[in-house]
This record gives sequence, structure tokens and C-alpha cells, in this order.
Amino acid sequence: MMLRSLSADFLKIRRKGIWFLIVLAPVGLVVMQALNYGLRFDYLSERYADDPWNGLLINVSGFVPIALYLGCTLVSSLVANVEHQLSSWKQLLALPISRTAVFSAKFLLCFLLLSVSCILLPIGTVILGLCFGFNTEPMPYADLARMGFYPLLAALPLLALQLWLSLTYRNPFLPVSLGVTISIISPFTMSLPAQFPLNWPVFGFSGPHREAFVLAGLLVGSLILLMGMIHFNRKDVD
Amino acid sequence: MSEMIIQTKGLTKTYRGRMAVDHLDLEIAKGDIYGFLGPNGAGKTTTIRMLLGLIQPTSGSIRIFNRDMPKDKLEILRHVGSLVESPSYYGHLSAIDNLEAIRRILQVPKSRIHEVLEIVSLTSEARRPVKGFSLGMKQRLGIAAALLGSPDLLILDEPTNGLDPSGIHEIRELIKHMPEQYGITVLVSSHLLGEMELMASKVGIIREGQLVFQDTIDNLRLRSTHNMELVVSEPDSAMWIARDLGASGTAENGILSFPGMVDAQVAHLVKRLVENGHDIYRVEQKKKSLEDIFMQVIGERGQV
Repeated sequence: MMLRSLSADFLKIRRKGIWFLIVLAPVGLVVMQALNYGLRFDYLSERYADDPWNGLLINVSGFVPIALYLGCTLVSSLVANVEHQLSSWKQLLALPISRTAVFSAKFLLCFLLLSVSCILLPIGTVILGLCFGFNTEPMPYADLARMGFYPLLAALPLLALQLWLSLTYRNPFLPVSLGVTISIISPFTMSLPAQFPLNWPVFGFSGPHREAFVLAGLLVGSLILLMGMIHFNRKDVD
Repeated sequence: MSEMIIQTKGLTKTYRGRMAVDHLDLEIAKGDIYGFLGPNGAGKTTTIRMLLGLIQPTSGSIRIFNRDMPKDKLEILRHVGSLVESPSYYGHLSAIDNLEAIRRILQVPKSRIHEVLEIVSLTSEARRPVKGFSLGMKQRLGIAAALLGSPDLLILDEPTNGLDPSGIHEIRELIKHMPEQYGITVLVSSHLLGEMELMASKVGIIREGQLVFQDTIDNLRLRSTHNMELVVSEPDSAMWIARDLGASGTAENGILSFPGMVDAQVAHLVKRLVENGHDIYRVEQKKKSLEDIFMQVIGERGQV
């Protein structure tokens, strides 16, 4: 039942600029690094001389958390807006489909969309590295894949929260401003302990216990998702 | 008594202590076009949202197709098509894609899309983005969406709201043919009685959340009390005579009017007036229009 809803959702987000955003984000991050390296190539290649790929990964991944937070916020808001815009909820929820299926489909949709970004990012990074003439051997495939997915999984709590808020409030102001605020302050919370949730995506990629942060993200994300779902199931639709 | 499609018992919804819907007992039989009437804010939309499971009743029960509403929601909704208030659509998509988004959830054959577009005569506009449609076309698309799952029950909330006369006519013609052509029972709400008069077989009138009338249109007509009007040469003194005879009435612009006066009383009054030398120009019976009856039933004067 959820898959039916999901396939309808994919149809509804056509021509809404969501796909553009999904492609823009990883391309943007790669272009930023192209600029960074272009401006000070000698310095950076000297600094990471013994492992240029790792150097590039460190530089790219620095911006992944903030991009993820913005992505979670905007994607949830745009996905929710498709239904809010002309109050299609009353039509959608009067169809023979459970609200749980509708809600999970929306979550899965956001997750899949962000996953596309997270697949494009390592691909773009590799292309950039090859342009710089880095050796193809050894290629850090595992680290590249980790950069794509570990931060995303560690950021699931925010995605679940943003989706819940976006689906609940017709006016996107509250969820979007909260999400943007979180994105902006996230680099500064690094001074707080690693356990602080906003730091999870960072330590989910680079840290001794990265799997623990990913797991925490999955658990807390599921919990928030469940709470959002219960609320969505009960709320009156107007 | 034919089979009941919708039956509610003591259906109630309160918002912060205010009764939006107050112990409603609706009865809608198979094949009815049930006109759900009431002024704006009387609780029509709230009731319809409860029937569709969009909001939860505070108390009371709903049975649709002999199933319990919140419990068997999905089984019930599979056989219900709905259009609630303003049309819901995805403006950036074409009519076909709008229906496709719903079809993917309903899992009906793709050919249904063309069938329903045919029914609402939108086939030629099917590929245009819906945001460029007129309100009437959007509303027809809404009806097409409601018909997509081949429902047995169609619930339409204010389907003609904001339409021009020809749009209203189109929608009305569409609705009128639902029971005979497709065997669909229709619940349609409106705040205009005139509209219901032309299509509904049965009406329910709601006022401040309470059902004040539920019967056929014909029985609503029978409720009317007619006025007997007399135009005479000297209305004031004629009124005195009428009062002597025990008839209560009013005199306005020289016209005496007596609500609900029966034949014998009329004959008696006319005889006495003639005996007293009055000239009688006209004696006529004024039937109340259905709209007047409606106003009488909902108990308020002024705008509806």
C-alpha cells in the first residue's frame, strides 16, 4: 500500500524543482571544492601529498552536514507543500489508503531523494579527483560510500522531525526557519560533546565510533518517525 | 424501506465545547440523491468530513454500507468517491496526471481515467496543466476523481459553490444521472435550496449542528402554510370585521393576509364583508415558495 502511495508521490513532485535541488546540492559541493583547490592547489596538494584522496574527502565532507540539514528541511517542506498548496489532504486521505502508508511513503520519498544526492556526491568527488590527476589506485571506495551514506543516516532524526513539522503546519515558515537555523548553527555546535545530535553526521563520517553515531541516528530517527506517524494518524484533516 | 447506505446515530463533534454537529441521525437509502442543506457554518462540512473519516467524531456512530466507519475505514472508502469543498488538484500536473496520481493509489485500470474524463466531458482538455482550468472545469475534474474508483456512494460537498449558472447546470445534470446510469447513491451538500429542488429526492436540513428536517422534497412542500390574501376597498375596517370572526392576520399596503385560513373561514369572511358594504377586488391564495419553507425551517430571516 505504501508503494502505491510512493509511486503517486513521485508523479506529484514532477516539475516542482525538487529534482533540480537534489542535483544542485552535490554539484554545488563539488564545485566549491573545485574552487577551493583551484585557488590553492599547490598548498593543498602539498598538505595532503601522502593521501590526496583523503584530503579531498576531508574537504568535501566538511560541508556535508550543513548541506544535509538544509536538504532535509527543503525537501520535506517541498514534498509537504505539494499537498498543502491546494489542500489536497482531504482528497488524498479520503482515498482507501491508510494514513500510516501515506506518511511512510512521504518519508521514504524524502529519504530516496536525499539518497540520490548522496550518491551523486561521491561520484562528483571522484570526477573532481580525476580532474586533479589523482592516482586511480588506490581509490578509497569505502570512504567514498561512507561519505555518501553515514552522515545521511545520522541525520535521519532531523529528517523525521522536519517532515513531521512540514506535514503538520500548513505554513512552512516554522519548519523552514527551524531547519535553516539548525543548519546555520550546526558548525558551531562542534564545540559541544560529540553526543549532541547535531554533531552526529560529522562523527558518523569521521570518528572512531562512527557506526555508533549512525546507529543512534537510525534509532532516534525511527522514534521521531513513529511519533510523527501516530500524530498524523490521529489528527483531524481540514 | 430500502437498504440504508449511510446511517448515523447521535453523531456529534464538539470544538472547544462548541457543538459543531449535534446528535445527527442521518438516513440515506440506496439510490437516493440526498440533498444536505443548511446555511454556511451549520455543520455540513464537519459532518461530511466525519463520514469520510477525515476527522473523528466526538461521539455517536456512523454506519456506511452496514460497516462501522472508523473501524472499517479502508473497506468503506474503497466504495466511496468524494469531493470536499474547494477542488483539490495538483496545479502543475495535467488532468490525466492528476487522475493518474489517484489511480496509482486506487489500483484501477488505466482505461478508467479516460472513462471518467468522458463522463465529465474533459477529454479534450485532458493534457493541459490544471492550473489553467476554469473553476467549473476544476470542479468537474474533482468529480471525475471521485468517480475514478467506480464508487457506490458519492459524497459531494458544495460541488456548485462559486460556479456560474452554466457550470451549476452542468454539475447538476451530472449528479442527476448518477443513480439511474451508474447505480450510485449521492450525498450532496449545499446552502441553496433551489439547487437541491432540481436534483435531490430527499433532503436533510441542518441548523446549528442539528438536523431539523429529513424527508422527501414533496413532504417539505406539504409543510408549507399558504396565505389567503384579500384586497378590499376599506382594509382597516375590514380587518376589524375579520378579527370579530376570530381570524388573525395582518394588513399591509391595503392587502389583508391571513396565514393558513381554511375555505369555510374564507367564505364566512367574504359574506360578512359584502353584508357590511365592502367592495372585494381580489381573493387569492399565496403559496409559499420552497425557499420560504426552507427559511421557515431553518428559522432565520435574511440571507442564507
